[in-house]
Amino acid sequence: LIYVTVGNHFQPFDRLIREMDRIAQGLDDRVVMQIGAGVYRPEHGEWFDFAPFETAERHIQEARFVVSHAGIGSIISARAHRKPIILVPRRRTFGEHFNDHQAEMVRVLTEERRPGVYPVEDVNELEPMVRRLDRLEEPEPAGPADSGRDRLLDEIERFVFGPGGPL
Amino acid sequence: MKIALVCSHGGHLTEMKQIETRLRDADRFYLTYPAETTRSLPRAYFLPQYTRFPHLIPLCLWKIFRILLRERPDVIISTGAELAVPVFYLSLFFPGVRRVYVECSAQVFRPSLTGKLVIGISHLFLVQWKFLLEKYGPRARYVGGLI
Repeated sequence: LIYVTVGNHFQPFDRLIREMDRIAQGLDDRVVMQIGAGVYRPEHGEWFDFAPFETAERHIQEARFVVSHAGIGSIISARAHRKPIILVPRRRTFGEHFNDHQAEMVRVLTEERRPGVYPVEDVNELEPMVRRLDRLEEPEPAGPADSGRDRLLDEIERFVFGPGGPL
Repeated sequence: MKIALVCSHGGHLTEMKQIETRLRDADRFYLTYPAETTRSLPRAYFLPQYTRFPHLIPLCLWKIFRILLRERPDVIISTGAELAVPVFYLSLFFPGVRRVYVECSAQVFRPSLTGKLVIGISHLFLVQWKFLLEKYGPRARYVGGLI
């Protein structure tokens, strides 16, 4: 299974779904797409618009790899389930988000070369990346969570259950 | 110990669920938006997305105030986005409430408008990328990020 997700944002991201639908024709794997607010209906895979948190998690768990908009939720979930994830940024110019923060995210993740995280700049780079992961017997999974995550959670836990402090 | 969790229904919620794993058995409830992803939350209050529907701002503020009055949380934690603004400011009517804001990890280089609006009244303000420290100044802290 390859799971494609555009997250829960209210603007569409049909460029990704359209391109993945085209690529899906040439893949042996089942492709399941969460299309969000998009209007394009995939023809070469199963699809739904939005789903409960647990449903999305289950698809990620079953997937060999995930293709996603460059949203935080997808990255965290892919890491939690140790799945490789390809990220494609939503763009403001196409009415896909308010601003280009997803492109910034892709830029910084490209520089940092995190294991199992495969950012691409645009949909035209998607097919080679999907084929690359598809060829691998076991693509490198995202994660595991490094200590940065634990440090952040420790800090919050300490504050919440500690004595607090002045504003 | 009662904790209010304030977040939107997408990635902000996923971040909050990570934080929730550390909240032990503290009594807690969500303030969020109605969506497929939030429907199954055990205890949640649903509010209108006021930036998309500005005519609902008065209703939204009234609902938040009533919820805070009823629940009286000791701590409010938000991972954003804009819903943090009215909740944090209305919580000023309830002295003793401690406010924690965790800037979403989607904000890499640029501060969010929500972050800029709540940093002055947050007791703990965390960013998830070190690039943001100089933008936010000394009130912001960086210890790590979720992604």
